[in-house]
Amino acid sequence: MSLISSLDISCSGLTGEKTRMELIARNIANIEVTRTASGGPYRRKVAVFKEVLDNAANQSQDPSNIIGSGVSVYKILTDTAPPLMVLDPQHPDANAEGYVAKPNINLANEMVDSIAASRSYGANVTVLNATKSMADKALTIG
Amino acid sequence: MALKMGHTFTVMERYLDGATARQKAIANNISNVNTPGFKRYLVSFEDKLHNAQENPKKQVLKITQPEHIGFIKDESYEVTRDRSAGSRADGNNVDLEQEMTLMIKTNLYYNGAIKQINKKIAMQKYIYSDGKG
Repeated sequence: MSLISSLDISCSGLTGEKTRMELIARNIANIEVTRTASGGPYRRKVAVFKEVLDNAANQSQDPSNIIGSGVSVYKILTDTAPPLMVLDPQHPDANAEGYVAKPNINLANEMVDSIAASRSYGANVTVLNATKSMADKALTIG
Repeated sequence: MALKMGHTFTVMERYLDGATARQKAIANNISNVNTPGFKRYLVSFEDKLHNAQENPKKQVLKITQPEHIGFIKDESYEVTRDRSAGSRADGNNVDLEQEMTLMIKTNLYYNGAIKQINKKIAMQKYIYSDGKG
């Protein structure tokens, strides 16, 4: 039934936005981190979304299968921007000139992204509830 | 008045099919609101439904009596893709407000169609009970 697949689609949207929000939280939490396992300062992580298409769409008789099946996180990219060099000779990770390599994370940027992710999450919840009320209503037939 | 029992159900069933597909398209468009380059899906069925009612030629079964119910062969809705550029820099053309409004409309019409079906069933029950129901 198509309404059930609509619920799955909204769920994929929620998962995607949640992943994005997790990455934003991680970026903000690590904004001052100068030491990581891979060496050097923490680097900003960004989720890249990709549309999910139904493979069986062409063989099926149901035209609604042409519509994709939601969204998925295709990749988590690491920002390649060079780290910020901050003058702080007292810092244990300072180089010979007294500069410390700090993560190149713009806090305002992350906050705006988190608002966008939150809004999109809310939109998916609204659609999920609307689909649920439609399915509920269909059960009243008869 | 002839009791055309099947007609309401045929039309409403097609209407529900179309509304369900549209809800799926909206769910997909909204879940992909942050996917770069995504183009929105559109489901159109009102015109098709109207045409099917206006032009009985498309019906598959031969109609020899006006009371006959015509089954309509073609699909009750059509899925297209809006390839327009949209107003966003990432090539995505999903407008959240537009989708939300469309979803509310779909929801209302869907509920209306179900109400219509239930009324029809209630009417028939009333008739079958010889007006005593």
